[in-house]
Amino acid sequence: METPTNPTLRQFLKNRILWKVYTMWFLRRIVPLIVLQVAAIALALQIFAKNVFVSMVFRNAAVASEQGYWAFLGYLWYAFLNTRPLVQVTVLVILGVVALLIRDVVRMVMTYATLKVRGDRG
Amino acid sequence: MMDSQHEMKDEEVLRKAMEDPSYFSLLVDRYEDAFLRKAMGVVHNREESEDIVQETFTKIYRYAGNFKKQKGIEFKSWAYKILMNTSFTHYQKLKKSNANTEYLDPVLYEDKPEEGGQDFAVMHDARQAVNEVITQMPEYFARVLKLYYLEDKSYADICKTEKISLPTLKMRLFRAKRLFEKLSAETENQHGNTH
Repeated sequence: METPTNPTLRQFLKNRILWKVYTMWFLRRIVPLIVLQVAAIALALQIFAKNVFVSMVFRNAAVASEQGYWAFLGYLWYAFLNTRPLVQVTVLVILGVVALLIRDVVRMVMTYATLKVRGDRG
Repeated sequence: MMDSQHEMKDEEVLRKAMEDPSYFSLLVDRYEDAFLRKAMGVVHNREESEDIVQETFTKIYRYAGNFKKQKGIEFKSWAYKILMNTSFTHYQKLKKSNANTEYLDPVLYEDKPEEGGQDFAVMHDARQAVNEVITQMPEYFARVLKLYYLEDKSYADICKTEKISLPTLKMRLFRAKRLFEKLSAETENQHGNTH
């Protein structure tokens, strides 16, 4: 009986299997998280836009940035401290969820890279 | 690090693979060849057996959450169950798509449990068991059984090869089957006593 001894064919099959497994993992573990995170960010941005005069914030930020990075950051901090608690919470939620989103994207890329290395090792 | 990964049990690797799919490559390394050989034994077609192996690994990963290590049930037997279920499904599709395709041993196929049954793990060594029994039989019985059940030759072909008449062949097959049943029961008993 023919046995699977050809290393190239074996590697090819292994890569096909691992790619399918990665796709399943991505669809089951990552996609739902990313969808949730994007939805949370969209909702938070909507609340933010309803409560903040965004174009004015940008205009003031542009003026502050002319005086340097520290002045720009100082303006953002000052604006944050002096806004309403709802907006403060919204900003914190946006920052937190964006951090989680970045973490998941990095995890997705790193897992793919590791999978490729392990798959190629044969 | 690599050594510790290679020493990991299959069940542990599967559990880790749920979180990090790169671990799954360890299971593929361990079982790819054996699965391919087993699938080839059923469908006798390389491309089809590769598809079977790919589908089997995919199912293993998909249903990994359902796998619970119970007493006496290990990853290996669970994985072989999936492999044999997938192989038989492919075999049936092949048979439907090509009426002349008769890859699977008829003896093995006729013993197949009902659709969706979970007993294929018990069957996956059936071919070996059948061969083991056949080798104990007288040459003229073994030959007709092999030709009819394992090589799926027609009555006419066997009569021609064996240079015997049709009634003689039918009688020989009947007696050979009876002897086969007797010997297989004895073999089973012997195995039962040794375990």
